[in-house]
Amino acid sequence: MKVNIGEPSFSFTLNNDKLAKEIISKYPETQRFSAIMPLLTLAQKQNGGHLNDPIIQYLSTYLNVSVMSFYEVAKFYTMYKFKPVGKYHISFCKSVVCMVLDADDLYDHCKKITGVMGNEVSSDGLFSVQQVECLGACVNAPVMTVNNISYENLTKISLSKIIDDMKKGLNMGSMSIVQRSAIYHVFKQH
Amino acid sequence: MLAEENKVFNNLYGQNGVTLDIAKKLGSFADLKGILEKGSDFIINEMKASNLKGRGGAAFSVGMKWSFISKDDPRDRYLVINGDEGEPGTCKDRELLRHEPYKLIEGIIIASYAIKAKACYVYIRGEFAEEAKVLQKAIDECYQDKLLGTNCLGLYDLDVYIHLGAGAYICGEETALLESLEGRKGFPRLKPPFPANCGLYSSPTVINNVETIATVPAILYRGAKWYSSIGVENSAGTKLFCISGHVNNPCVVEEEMGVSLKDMIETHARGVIGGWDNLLAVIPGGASTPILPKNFCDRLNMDFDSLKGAGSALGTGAIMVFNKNTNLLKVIHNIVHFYYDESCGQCTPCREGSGGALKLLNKFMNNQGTAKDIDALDNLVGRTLGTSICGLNDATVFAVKGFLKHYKDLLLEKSIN
Ligand code: FES
Repeated sequence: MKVNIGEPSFSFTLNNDKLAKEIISKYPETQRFSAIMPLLTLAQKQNGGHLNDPIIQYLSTYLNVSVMSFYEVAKFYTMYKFKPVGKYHISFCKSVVCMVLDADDLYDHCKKITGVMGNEVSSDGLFSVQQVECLGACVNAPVMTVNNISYENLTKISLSKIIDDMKKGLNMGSMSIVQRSAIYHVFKQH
Repeated sequence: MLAEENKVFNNLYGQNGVTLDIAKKLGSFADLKGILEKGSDFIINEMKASNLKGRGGAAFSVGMKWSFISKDDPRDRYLVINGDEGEPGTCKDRELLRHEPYKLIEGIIIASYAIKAKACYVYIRGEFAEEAKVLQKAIDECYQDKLLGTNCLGLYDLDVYIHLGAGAYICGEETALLESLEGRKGFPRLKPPFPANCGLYSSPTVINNVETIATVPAILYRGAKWYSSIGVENSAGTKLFCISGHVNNPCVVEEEMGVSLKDMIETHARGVIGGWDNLLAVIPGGASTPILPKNFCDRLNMDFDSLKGAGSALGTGAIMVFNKNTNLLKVIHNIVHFYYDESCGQCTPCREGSGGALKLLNKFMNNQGTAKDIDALDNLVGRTLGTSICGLNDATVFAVKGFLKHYKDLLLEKSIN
């Protein structure tokens, strides 16, 4: 496969190289394919949320598995992206429980306050927003994830606060689930 | 309803904290050695006697599944845990991964010992990255405590690894999950051969749901007799139910099988929003189980036979509640859209059938449907049942059939002729 000119070459950072070797060691030596998905995930993360041809090339050599095998996997699973995403990539659940709890309105609201048009990244580079199927958190609907961290029991008010805090650069990704709940979620009693 | 002392999950909400020490205080690993020393046959027989059926939706006897692994097969064996939770309405495994990881690990150790697995892979959907972190921390603690690794308790060697998915509902189907774990697209495999003979890396493999395996320690500590005494005939034990949608307190809750749906909604979920009389319909077991109008729900028990009798199914125990503000056409449209999105595209009836059903429903959404379109929809789902490699297409069929059975009038009202 030809590499597009203009796309920067890629290699794992030292730390990720270590992680990658750990990943490979989880699977039997004869089963290198099993490492394809976790390596794609790791590379995508290092690259700021999306993959490209040079990355696939690199991984293919790294794991000694054909480029095609990597593409086949990378194009099948929806969490692998081949287009840049925002610093905060937001996934809104649109499945049935979230839908009946007005997730569509929240999604529209979210696009408005982040300034995201269509599938593009917002002009400040901060946000991209997409709709996804059930996030497996239906008793906490409506739900969204931001870079794979979930925000639950969303309302317009909490959503606005979350987006505001992100614009301010607060590092919410490092919070624990409990901390995040206390700040943004109506705490649930059982 | 379920008595407190019969609960399997005493830390379901993480109310006691989530560390190995706390888990031990709550009873985990109390006598793991004692259980394992009773031997593989004892464990498998006890599981059979407990009547525990798989909690991932397919409801296959767990003891039976384990017993299919041949005793003297020289190949490596594997245990694979299905944590690819994604059926709309279902969010119970997430709660377990977050708050009860030690019960899952102890269950993994027991199951692996019983089938002599050399390693266990826990497949967790990619969106559950945080949950995977919690489980990884628990696994690390167990390695440190010599519950995992080599020569544990002088009885076994076992490695446990997490494998994260990357966004594909189909990987919850067990053979698609294996494909994914082997580094390929999540295309379900033709059966036979069954995983017990030819599963992960062509080796004998048992695949069980997170909830199923997390239930195992309780059964072995307290006995199959105790477990099977809970619940009703044919539906033994306890189950996690996810009550979502138009209720005052959506929640995941452990209840005994056969519990009354109404009691559960009224007690645990603090009632339907707007009161019981404001209830319109319930989908009792995840998006693929047929919808039931309110009059079915007034006196419905949550077990395999009762739900089958009502024309639906227990599925994953995901109860979705819709009150009278709900547009049910939008609901079924949403569900069919889900299956259309998530079809892996391998089998024509599923790929084209879900698309066809969606097109017809789109017409009604746009007020352009006709009586003929209703027949076409009926015909389409009637013909595609059982025509694909896995059950995803059947899920679409059941959902649409259930809707047509009770709500054909909704479509007729909307038809333009
Ligand atoms: S339907 Fe939105 S999380 Fe399940």
